[in-house]
Amino acid sequence: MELLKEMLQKPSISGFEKNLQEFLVKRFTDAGLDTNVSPLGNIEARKIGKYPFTILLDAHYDQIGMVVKKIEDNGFIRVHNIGGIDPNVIPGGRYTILGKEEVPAIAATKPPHLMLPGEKDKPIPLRDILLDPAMTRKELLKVIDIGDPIFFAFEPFAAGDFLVGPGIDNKGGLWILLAIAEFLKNFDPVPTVIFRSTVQEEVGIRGASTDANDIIDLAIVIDATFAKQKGADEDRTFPSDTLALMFGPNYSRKYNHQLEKLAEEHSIKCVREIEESVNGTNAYQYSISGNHATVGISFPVYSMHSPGEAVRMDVLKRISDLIKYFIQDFKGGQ
Amino acid sequence: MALDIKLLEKLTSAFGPSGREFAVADLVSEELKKMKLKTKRDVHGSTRVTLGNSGKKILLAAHLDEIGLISTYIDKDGFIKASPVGFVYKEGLFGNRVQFENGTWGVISSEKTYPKPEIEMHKFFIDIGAKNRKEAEKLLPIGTFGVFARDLVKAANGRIISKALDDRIGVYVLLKVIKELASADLKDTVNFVFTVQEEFSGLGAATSAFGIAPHIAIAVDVTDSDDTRENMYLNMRLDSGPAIKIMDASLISHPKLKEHFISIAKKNKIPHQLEVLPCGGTDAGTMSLVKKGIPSIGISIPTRYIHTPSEMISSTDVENTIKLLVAAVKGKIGGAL
Repeated sequence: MELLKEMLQKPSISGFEKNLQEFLVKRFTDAGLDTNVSPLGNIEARKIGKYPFTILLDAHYDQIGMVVKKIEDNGFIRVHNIGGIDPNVIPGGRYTILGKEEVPAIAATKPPHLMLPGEKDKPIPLRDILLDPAMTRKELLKVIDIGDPIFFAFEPFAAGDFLVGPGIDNKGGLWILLAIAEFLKNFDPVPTVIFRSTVQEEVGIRGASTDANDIIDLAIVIDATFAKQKGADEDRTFPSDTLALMFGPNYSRKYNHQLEKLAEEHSIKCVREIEESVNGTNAYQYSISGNHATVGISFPVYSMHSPGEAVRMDVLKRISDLIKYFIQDFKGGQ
Repeated sequence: MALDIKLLEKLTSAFGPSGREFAVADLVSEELKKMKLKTKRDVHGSTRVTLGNSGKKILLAAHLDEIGLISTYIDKDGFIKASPVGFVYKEGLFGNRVQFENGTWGVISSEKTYPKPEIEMHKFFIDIGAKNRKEAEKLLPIGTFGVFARDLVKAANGRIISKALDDRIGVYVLLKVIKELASADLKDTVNFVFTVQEEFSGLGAATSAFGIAPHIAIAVDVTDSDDTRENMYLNMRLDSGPAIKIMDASLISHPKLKEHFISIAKKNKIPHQLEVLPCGGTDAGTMSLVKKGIPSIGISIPTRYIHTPSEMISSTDVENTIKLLVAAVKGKIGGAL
């Protein structure tokens, strides 16, 4: 849990992932893996196996956030979203502008007393939300500028089995990758295993699109999905204590069945997530690229794309276990 | 360095919707020939010239094409239906003149019904003066490309109004940069590419970047100048210099390239501004995802009324964009990463 907490506190807004990149490169290198960074920032770490079969584990390492779009004369800041943000969750929140210095700001709100009839019920579009750093424009321009990324200043915390914080999507996936890398320190796999952490998933699967054509045999893509929540579609949400396997025409039937069987043998709760059409995930990108099989494994998250994303740590653990068993059992020739 | 209005006028008045950029490409080759430079044109029509032959490979792109339309149907009375090629700002269509690739002219309108029809593309038709379907079929076969025709005019304060400033002003800038640097001793291999089909799919940028496989890609294009009466949401202004793109809907510029261009502008005292554009994309976004990914950035000329037949730019912004790019190319862009 401490490792995930640590990652949650390292901002990695899409396009501005440097901070977390250095951390991950170090972790993979420390695990004894040969680690490279692509021109776009994708991190690739590999352990060569004896048998000519390559399993690639992908998890994107960027997260949603905002960016400074304009600094008004009175020091208020206009913002633009990076990735999918519901403007409902912004007002009243606390933010950190990552400029030359870290500048704290709150999203200004209109007091309810002053709202006009009907105003309370309507969300404020993001373009009309102003961040208030309580500084003059002149003071601000010394420390921040247009284009600086903005991070949800929301301290992660544990609540029962859950860890809550912004960026669980997809630092939960990174936690799984690192757990498997740790396992491979003392295990020589039969297949070659590649860990790939990709950039800019949240702004249109850009990182994965540059590398998904590589010659591999199986891509296992790990990302967040939706936990069951009141008011959300029953068929698109999943119990928070299970993992979900993507099923659809473009995902490997063979490996999905193998993983389901393996989960059953080890009493790991596993449900099917039906993804029957085009979607904006790395798993989809891999499934339509290159010439390899693809499976997608998801961990359910509450309040996705809000500062308070919540995941069960034991689900992350079970996904890493399932993939470990899969690698352990892989004998080649199948 | 005053603006070469004659050249700009030639460029903007040339016919060149996405997929039919030949006339503009010819103009570019002609201009480069005057500088004793040889151009290469690829199978799609993208036209390129390379300066220098050492260091890192740089790709500097500006697109040849403009938004336009293509005829899709002729009704029994000889009126033409058409589809947009690229994102056409439909609010600006009424009463516009259309120039077709075969020399036919027409005017766009819709029925004068009351209440006024909602502005929807399918309600527009083009009147080419034909009396019936048979005559229209001769004048304008289905699938003929057209553009919105407007002359270039000079407005106050060195501002220019014209069609197709998106992106003929980028083409103009690159031609001037090449002229300045044609005999310079460059420390990079700089490929200047005049791309096709940016407004449609980015095909020219994607294929050129794939072929050249540069270390760094830069697109010179227009960006929204949000400084009219509402003047609310964006940072960009006319007369405040080239905009160094930080992000738009297609690209988050490589942070090191952003820093590099800001430092060059500061060092050479070139006015400049920073760009965060919520909508729209350029060739830079396309190029950034080619092969294993290419560190990319956009350098933008602030423009009002983009994608209408009357776009407006400021001459001083153009001059400063040329200065910025000349300084950058002279100073070894390859060292930025």
